[in-house]
Amino acid sequence: MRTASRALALACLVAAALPAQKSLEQLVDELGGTDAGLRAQAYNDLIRRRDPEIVALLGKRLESMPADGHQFALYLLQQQLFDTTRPVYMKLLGSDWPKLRTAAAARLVVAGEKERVPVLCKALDELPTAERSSVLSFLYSLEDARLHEILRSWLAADAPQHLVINVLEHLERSERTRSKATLAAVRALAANQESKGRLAALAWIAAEADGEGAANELAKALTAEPQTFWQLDRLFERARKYPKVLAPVFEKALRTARSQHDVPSLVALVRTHSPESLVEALRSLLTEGAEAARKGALAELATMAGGLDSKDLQTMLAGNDPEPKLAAADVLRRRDDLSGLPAALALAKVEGKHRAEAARVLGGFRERSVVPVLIDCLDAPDAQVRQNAWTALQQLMRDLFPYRRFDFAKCGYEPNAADRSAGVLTLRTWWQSVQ
Amino acid sequence: MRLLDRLASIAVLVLAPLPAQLPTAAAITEPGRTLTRPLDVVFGSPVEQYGRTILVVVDPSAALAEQGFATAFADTLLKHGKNLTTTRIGLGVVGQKGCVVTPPTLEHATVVTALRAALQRPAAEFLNVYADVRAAAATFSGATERVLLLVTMDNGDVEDDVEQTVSVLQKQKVRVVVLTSETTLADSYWAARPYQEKPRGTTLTGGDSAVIDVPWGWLFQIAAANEMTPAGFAMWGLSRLAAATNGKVFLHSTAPQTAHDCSYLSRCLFCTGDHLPPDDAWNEQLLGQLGPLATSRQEAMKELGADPWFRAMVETWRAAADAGLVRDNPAVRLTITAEADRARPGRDLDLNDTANFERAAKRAEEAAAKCKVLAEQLVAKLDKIPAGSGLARAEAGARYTRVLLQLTRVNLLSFAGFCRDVAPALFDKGEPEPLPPEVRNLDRDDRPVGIGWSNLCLCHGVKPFFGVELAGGKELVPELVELDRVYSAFQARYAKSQFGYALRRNGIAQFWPTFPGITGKLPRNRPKTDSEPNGPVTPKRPPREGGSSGGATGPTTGGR
Repeated sequence: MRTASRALALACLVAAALPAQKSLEQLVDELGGTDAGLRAQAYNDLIRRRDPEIVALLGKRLESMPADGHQFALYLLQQQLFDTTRPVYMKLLGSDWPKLRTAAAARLVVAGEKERVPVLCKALDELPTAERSSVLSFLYSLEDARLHEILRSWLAADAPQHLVINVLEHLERSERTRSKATLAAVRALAANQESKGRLAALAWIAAEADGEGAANELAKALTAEPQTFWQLDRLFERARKYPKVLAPVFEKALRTARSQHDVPSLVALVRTHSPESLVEALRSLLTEGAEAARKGALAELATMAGGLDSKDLQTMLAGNDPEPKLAAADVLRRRDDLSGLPAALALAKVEGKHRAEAARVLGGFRERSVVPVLIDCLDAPDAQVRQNAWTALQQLMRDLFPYRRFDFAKCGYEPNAADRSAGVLTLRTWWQSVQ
Repeated sequence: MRLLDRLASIAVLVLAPLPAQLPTAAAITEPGRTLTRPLDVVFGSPVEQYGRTILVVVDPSAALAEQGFATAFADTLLKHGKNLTTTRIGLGVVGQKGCVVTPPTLEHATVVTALRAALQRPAAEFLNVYADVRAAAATFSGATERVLLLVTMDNGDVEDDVEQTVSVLQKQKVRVVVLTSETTLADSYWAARPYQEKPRGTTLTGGDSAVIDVPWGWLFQIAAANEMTPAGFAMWGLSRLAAATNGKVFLHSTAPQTAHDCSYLSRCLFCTGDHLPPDDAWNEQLLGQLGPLATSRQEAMKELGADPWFRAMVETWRAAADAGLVRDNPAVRLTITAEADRARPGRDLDLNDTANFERAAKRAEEAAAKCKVLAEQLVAKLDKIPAGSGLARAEAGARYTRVLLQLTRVNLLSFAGFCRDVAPALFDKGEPEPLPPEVRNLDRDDRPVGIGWSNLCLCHGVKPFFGVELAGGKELVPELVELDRVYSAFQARYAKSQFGYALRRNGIAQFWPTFPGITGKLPRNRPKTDSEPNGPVTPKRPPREGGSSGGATGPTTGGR
C-alpha cells in the first residue's frame, strides 16, 4: 500500500512537471503555416512524438500546404511504417506538385515496387531545376542505371554549382565507383568555360590519375578567390589523393576554417598532402582563426605528437576567455591531469553562453566535487545547460558508485519540464545521504 | 635455513653476470612494420663476388595473402631487377612436402607465379615452420652467399626443435632473415591452454622470451595482461634463428597504432573512450633495454638462473601460486642455475563457486595477508640487489610482480568487503528501500550460487579510484594509497615500455552474486559417418581470444 501511494505521488509529481502538449492537429497546422520558426518547432515536436495518427492528417493536408512545408511533411511520413503511408504516396503520385510526385514515386520504388521506376523517371524529368537538389535525399539507396542517367543529365552548363555538387556526391555514393559515363559528363562540364558548376567539375577531375591540369586550374581559381573553397569543400571530404599543387589550398583552408566541423576533414587532407605543415596550420587556427573553429583545432592538436604541450594548455587555462579555458580543462582531463577542474567548476556556477559547455566538460571528471555543481545546473534557465548536466550526472553517478543501481526516471526529473524543483530536491537528498 | 638462503643469495650475486653480455632480441630486430622494407633490404643489398642464393620460405597464412605479399614481392623483384641478375631465388612453402617448391633459379618470374599460387590456398592449420626451415636449408648448394627469408605471420609458436634448426642453418652457412608479426609480452596464451591440439612432436610457445618470465594468471584479473601487451619483438624461436645466423628480424603489422583503447573486457570508469594517456607513446630505447635474450633456451636459462632479479621473481611467483594468488607455478625450477620445469597448477582458493560469503571473506583475508607478506619479502630481496646488476628485463619483471601483489591484495580485501557488507545487504529483506534515484540492486528471490567479477581498468592510474565507492569501504583506502604509491613508482620508470603497458591492462575487480543458469538439453552426439577422415589431421589454429590476434593484426608497439 505504501509503495502504491508513493508511486501515485511520484506519478502526480512527474505529470505536474510536464508542460501541456499541443495537439497533433495544431502541430500539423503549424507545419503548414507561413511562420518558419513555428514550422521548425512543430516539425521537431512531431518527429519526437512519432505518432502514427499523423499519417491520416498529413494525407489530408499535405497538398494544400505551401511548398516550404513539403520537405518536413515528407520526412515525417518516412518515419512511419510504409504500409500505413502507402495510400498517401499513391495519392501523391497524382499531385500537381512535381516534388511531391517525385518523392512519392521514389518512396514506392525504395519499398520494392520496382515497376514504378518509369513513373519516378518521368517525375524527375519534370522537376524544375530549383527543386532538384531537395529530392536527392529521397533517391538514397536507389541504384538504378536509368536514374543515374537522369541525374547525369542534370550536370548541364546552366546547372547551379550547388546542384552539380549534390548530384556528384549522390552519384559517387550510388554508383559506388566513379563510372565512365559520369566522368564523361563531368569532363564535358569542365570543358565548357561557361558552366556554372565548372569549379566543382574541376575538383572532381583533380582526384583522377590525369587530374594534374584540372588541379592547376582549380588551384589558380581558389588562390585568387579563397572563399570559393567553402562552396566546394564537400567534394574534398573523402580525402582522396590530389596533385601537390592543391596542398597550399588545403592548408590555407585549414587556417581559415569556419567552424569546428570543418576541421577534421581538412586535417585529413593536409595530413595527406603536406603533413609537415599540419601542426603549424592548426596552431595558427587556434590563435588567429575563427572563434567557432578554435575548439576543433584544439581537439586535433591535443591528439597529435608535438601538438599541444601542458604549458600551452596551462596558458589557456589561465586566460579569461571561458571557451578556451573549458577546452583546455577538457584536454588536460583527457590526459589524466585534473588541474583544469577548479576552472571548470567555477565556470559551471556562472550564468553565460559557456555554461552548457562547462556542464558537459564537468561530466568528464569523475570527481565527487562535480556532483553538487551539476545538481545546481539541473535548474539552470538554459535548457542546454540542464540537458548537459542531466546527461553528465547520470554517467557520473553510475561510475562513482559501481555497486549501486540507479533508475533515474524515478527521481521525477525532466530537463524540459516547467517545474523541476522536485526532481532536483530528490537528487540533492540522495547525494546528501551518501556523503 | 636462513643462513642457507643468505649463502644462496650471496652465491647468486657473485655469479651474476655483467649486464648485456648475451645478444637480445633488440639487437636483431629492425625498425618499421611494412612489408616493403624487409624485401628491399634482402633483395636490394649488394651481391657478393660469388653470387647469392635467396630461398624465400613462406608460411602461406590467410593474413599474408590478404596483405598482398605476393604483389609486394613481385614489385620488389622488378624494382631491384638490375641488382638481381646473378641472384638465384627459390621458393619454399611451409606445409608442402620437402618444403622447396621452386628450386633457386635465375628465372625469377617462375618464383612469383609459384608464390601467387601458394598464397591462393592459404593454410589455416598449425604448421611446423622449424622442420621446413631445416628441410629448406639442406637444399642450399654452391659457394654463394646463402640467405633464407622466412615469412611467417602465425606459426613461429609451433616449436619442435629450434636448436636442431639452428645447427642445420649454421652448418649450411645460411643467414636467416625473418619477416613475422609482433608477439605479445612473455606470451602465456598456449601455456594457459595446454589442451590445445598441435602437430605431433611440437610444443606451442609463442612469447618473445625463451621462457615465460612475467607472472600471469593473477587472481581476479579477467585476462592475462601480458597476452594483450605488444612485446616489440618476434616470437623467441624466430629471433633465435636470426640471432644464431647473423640475420635480422623484421616485424610486420597491419594495425598501425590508432585510437587508444583503455581496456579489453573490462570497464573504464573514468572516460568514455576519449582518453589521451600521457604515457601512450613508446620509448624505443626502453623497449630495447627490456628486450628478451635471443640465445638458446639453455643459455637463457643459465643467464636467468644467475640473475638475482629473476630468482627473486620466480621464488615469489612460486609462493604466490602456492597461496592461490596466481593460476600456475612458473615453468622454471631454480637450482644453482635455472631449469625448465612443468608449470604445475597453483592452489585454488575456491572463492567464486560458493555462496558462503562469510567463509569466502575469511579465505580472501588470509590470502590478502599472504600477499602482504610476499610483497614485503620480495621488496626485501630486491632492496639487497645492487643497482645496475642483472638483466633490465628481469628487474622489470620483479618490480611488476611487486605491484601485482599489492593489486591482488586490494582485490582480495575488496572481495572480503563485498562478502561481508555488500552481498548480505543484497539479500536482506529487512533492508530499507534506497532513496530515489537509487533502486534495489537485486530483484529476485532465488539463492545465489557464487560470486562473479569483472575488472575496472587501471589505464587512468589508481588515484581516480579514491573517489569511487568500492566494496571494502574505508579499510580499503590505505591499501589503495599503497597501490597508488607502488603503481606510480613503477610507471615513473616503465610507463612507456611493454611492462608499463601491461600494468595498465590490469584492473581493480568489481563483484556481484551469481545465480544458477538456465540449463537446456545437451546436443546429442552425432553418430560417426563414412565421411570422417581416417588418418591424423593437422589441427586448425583456432581464433585467439583475449584482445590480441596473435598475428599481424594484433597490438603493436608501432614502427620502431
